[in-house]
Amino acid sequence: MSFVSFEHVGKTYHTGEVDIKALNDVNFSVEQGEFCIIVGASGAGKTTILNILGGMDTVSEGKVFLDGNEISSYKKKQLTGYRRYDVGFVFQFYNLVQNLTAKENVELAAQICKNPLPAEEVLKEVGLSERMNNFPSQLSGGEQQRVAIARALAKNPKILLCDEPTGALDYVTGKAVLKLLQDTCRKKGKTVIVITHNQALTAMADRIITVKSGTITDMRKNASIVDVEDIDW
Amino acid sequence: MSKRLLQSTLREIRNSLGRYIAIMAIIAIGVGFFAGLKNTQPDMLATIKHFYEKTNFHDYRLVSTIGFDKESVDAIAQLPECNAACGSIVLDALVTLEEGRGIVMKVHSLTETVDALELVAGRYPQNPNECVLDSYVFSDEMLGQTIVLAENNEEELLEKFVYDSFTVVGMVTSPVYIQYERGNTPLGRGVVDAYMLIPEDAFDMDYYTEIDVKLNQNFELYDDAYKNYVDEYEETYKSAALTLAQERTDRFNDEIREAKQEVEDARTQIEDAKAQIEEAKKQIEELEKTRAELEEAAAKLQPYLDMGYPLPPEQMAVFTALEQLPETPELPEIPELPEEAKEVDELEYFEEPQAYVLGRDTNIGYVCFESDSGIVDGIANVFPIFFFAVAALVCVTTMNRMVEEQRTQIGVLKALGYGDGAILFKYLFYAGSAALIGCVGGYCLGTWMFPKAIWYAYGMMYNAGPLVFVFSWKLAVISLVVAMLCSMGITFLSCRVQLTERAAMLMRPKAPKAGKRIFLEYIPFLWNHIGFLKKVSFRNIFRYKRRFFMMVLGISGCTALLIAGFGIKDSIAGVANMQYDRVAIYDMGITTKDEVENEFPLLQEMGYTRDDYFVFAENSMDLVTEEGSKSLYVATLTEDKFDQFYSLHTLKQEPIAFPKKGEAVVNCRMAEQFHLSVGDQVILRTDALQEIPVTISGINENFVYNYVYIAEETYVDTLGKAPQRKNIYLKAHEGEDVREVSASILESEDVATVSVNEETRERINTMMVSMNIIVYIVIACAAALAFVVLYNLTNINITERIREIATIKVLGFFQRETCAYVFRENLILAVIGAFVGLPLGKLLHAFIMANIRVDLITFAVYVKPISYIFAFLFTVVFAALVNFSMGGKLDRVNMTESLKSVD
Ligand SMILES: Nc1ncnc2c1ncn2[C@@H]1O[C@H](COP(=O)(O)OP(=O)(O)OP(=O)(O)O)[C@@H](O)[C@H]1O
Ligand SMILES: [Mg+2]
Repeated sequence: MSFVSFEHVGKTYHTGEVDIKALNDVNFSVEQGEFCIIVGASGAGKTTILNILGGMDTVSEGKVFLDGNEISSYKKKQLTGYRRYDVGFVFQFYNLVQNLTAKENVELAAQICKNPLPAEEVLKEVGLSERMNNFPSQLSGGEQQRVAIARALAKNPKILLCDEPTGALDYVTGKAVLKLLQDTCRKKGKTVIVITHNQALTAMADRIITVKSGTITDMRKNASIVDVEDIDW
Repeated sequence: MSKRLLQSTLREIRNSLGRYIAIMAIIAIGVGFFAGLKNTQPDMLATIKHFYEKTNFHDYRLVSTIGFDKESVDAIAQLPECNAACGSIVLDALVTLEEGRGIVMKVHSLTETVDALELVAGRYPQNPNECVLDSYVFSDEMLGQTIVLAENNEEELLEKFVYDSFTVVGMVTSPVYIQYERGNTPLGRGVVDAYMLIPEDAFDMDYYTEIDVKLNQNFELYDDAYKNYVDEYEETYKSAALTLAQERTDRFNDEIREAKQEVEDARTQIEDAKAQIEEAKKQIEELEKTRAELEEAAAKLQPYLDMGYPLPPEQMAVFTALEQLPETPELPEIPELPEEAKEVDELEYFEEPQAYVLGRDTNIGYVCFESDSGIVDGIANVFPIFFFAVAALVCVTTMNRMVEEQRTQIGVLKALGYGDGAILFKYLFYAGSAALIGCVGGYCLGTWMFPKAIWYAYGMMYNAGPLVFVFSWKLAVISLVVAMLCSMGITFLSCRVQLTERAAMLMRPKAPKAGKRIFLEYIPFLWNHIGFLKKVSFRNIFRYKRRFFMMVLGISGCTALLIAGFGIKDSIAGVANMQYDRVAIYDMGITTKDEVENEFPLLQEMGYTRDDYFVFAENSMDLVTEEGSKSLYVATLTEDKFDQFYSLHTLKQEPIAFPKKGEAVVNCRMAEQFHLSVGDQVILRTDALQEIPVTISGINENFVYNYVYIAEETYVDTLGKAPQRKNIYLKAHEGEDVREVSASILESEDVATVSVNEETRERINTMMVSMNIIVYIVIACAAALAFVVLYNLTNINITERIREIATIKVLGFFQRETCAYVFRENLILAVIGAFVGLPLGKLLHAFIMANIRVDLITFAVYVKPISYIFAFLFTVVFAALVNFSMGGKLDRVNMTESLKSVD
């Protein structure tokens, strides 16, 4: 069985009288240690997929497995535990706690985990050893996003989920962040799933999943993986 | 305003119903408390005014030392401004109730116009042997019962009544007695227990003891205009009363003079008659002598005549003379002076009469009501402002937060081309409608509930019918204006700031408030020992300064209110206990019928020694100071062992020396009221208007009634004689039941009254239960306020930090941990607030107590330590409760939605 697998997943949002079918019969799988990119137009359902996989949202139908566990059957408390121990999340808008320093933001996540990585070490890895005691407002967007990644990594999760991590960053910084993610995957063997709507980026992924109007239209292994530094967009 | 915008506003209200209701509630509480308390005194005054006007309460009571002729009333009625004048008879009498109890009753004659009554139950008398009764003292069960004039009344008094018993047919309230006190009397134990009214015909009297006058105009109670008005006519009425009394006196004196003259005349006549009788007696004696002589002569001649001797004519003349001698006349009796003459002799001329005009300001109820209703006003002056301040604060923060939260939306609306006015309107409508509903609701509820509850509490002391509600435009307008300023005004200001920014700026997320190190971090010793999550809380607490002050102020306000509430209860409730535990340490006070020389035989018989009781004299006098006068008791002491029965000490518990000659010890309440201090000169004025000047030598702790203590020399020195020692303080033996002792003492003929301290303590404690109602209102309001403040602040806290909360939820914080993370700082703030509230509460309490005055009872201004603890715990528990009830809200924070957008 694959590390991650979606089986006939459907998601319907009930808002007032109208039902919005965000996902419909989604099937895909990702192997352990892969760098997977999900692409698709706006409103296609990418975020919905990631949220479900990240335990922040539930499915309306179908099953979701991660590392052999059926997370789609988890109750609320189990889901929290799942987020706590197994998932690392990186958002487009960083979502750092403003009142905590970079190091403390990492600690915030680390201190609730079973075997976290030392905060300082992780921050050093993301290249922020000098800025550890700065508050988010004192950091640039890219630096903040790196703190966010460090926060996700410090939890030592089974899987790293990133929803448009470069969306708010400029080209160069975005590239650096992606590089960091790719390195994490390569060097640490972490499974990383990244959402983007930039088709060009798919070149750097092991696996590319294309979403359109709530379903997977294409899922393929990338034959010629390009290093992120060599991609231009 | 476009339809869509209105729709968006209404949806806004629906979506943030909690906040909307919170604004409504806080305004309602603020307005309700403010308007309710502020309206209470006017309502109470209106009630009494209404009652006075309905019953035509007198403006003047005319009394004279000799009473008034029944015809005098007409003369008074002719005086300027007189609306109505009624003569009435007022006597004090000892009566016996059916249940066997004997009490002192003020017996009034029924009047028709002035001082009319309010019938509470039954009917008015139709026969002269029926009466109506004091409805404050007696229950309706008295209807149909008989009240008997006690036999031990003075004969002279009993003669003034046609009947010796009266059937109760109705229960009434009289404007003369709106308060529970019924006045003093020389009878019984010196205090009138109740009043009753009987028809004028039931009195066997041909004069009135007083004339009650109602003038034409009505004024607001205690208004200066009224004082001027009655002052203006007082002299007219006084001189008229004096003239009438003078005429009456003159007439009586004339009659006496005439009677005395008659007696005098009769006496001379008798003397004359006596002289004549003497004369007659002499003549009779002569006559008898002549007769005897003639008879002797005739007796000598008779034999000759019998024998037929012719007698010479000169000898025959003896017989003719004897025959012609007149019969011995009956001596007229000496006329006796009639018995009455002696009485007439003893008659003394009436002294020059005195007449008085007694205004309403001599009526206990009228006077006391002014100060007693002031209690409420005292509270009303402090509390509501506090409430309003907190309410305003909450409103400000809430609305400010809301406008800030909706920056982006404002930007969008602007970008869409909505004018500033329309956008402004949306928020003004939101805040304004909430405030308006809250204001109207709070006003209605507050002005109904508070006066009603407080009037109920006053019902224990005052008796003047159901509460009259007055609507005050001024108050309503003030409430509305303040409510609107707090809500719409603030919203307007916050909106202005946002609206001046350009749309594009608005749509960009506002830079999040930067994190900052707090001072604690520079104390590594402390900082390093604080758990990581607690560091977050501490940083948050000090990061949001405005929220910090809001929260601390709001919560300290609640704690302060609670302390003040509990404290009022402590101060009131402790009074009786302190009085009888450390001041009046004797067991019972006894008044005897006759003066006690040294030993009171009864007590000696009962096995008490002279050491067990203390004999002294107690008189009711007026304490006259520069700032006014006050009727109180003067205890004249002769012995120095007084301290064993009554502890004379200062409020600081330092003993006070026994007063020396010319010195007096006054109780703290009087000292406070008239600003007296040791060394001041005051005057004690007796009922007979004699004055005793004294110097204050001490101010003692005493909570129940007002007392002045002087030495006997002081009394003797000024008044020439010693007061009658009729009062005894008794200490029962260890283990005796004081009630049983008092009962057996009361059985004695020589004892007038016995009052057991234990019973007084209970009575005061019961009376104070009524005051508790006010306290409970305060506590309930404080609780409500605390709840709304905490709810609002917590709500703001959560909405402000929604992203942070969503983030930590994503990170996998369990529900409990999330709550702890968010609420820890709220609780810390609550604890800080509660701490700040402690001294604040003490101040507030002292301030309120300074505004509260009740006659006869002095409150001890103190707050029990347990009350501080309670207030503190209550606040923290409230805070915890509110926070836990918000736990659900945290649970509902949607991670995906909260993190999706920037704001
Ligand atoms: N909470 C929600 N309630 C209702 N509909 C929702 C909700 N969240 C998402 N949707 C709908 O589900 C669909 C998929 O949304 P999703 O956020 O997954 O898109 P996306 O692919 O991430 O788009 P984008 O690239 O713009 O972020 C959209 O049509 C959206 O309107
Ligand atoms: Mg998305």
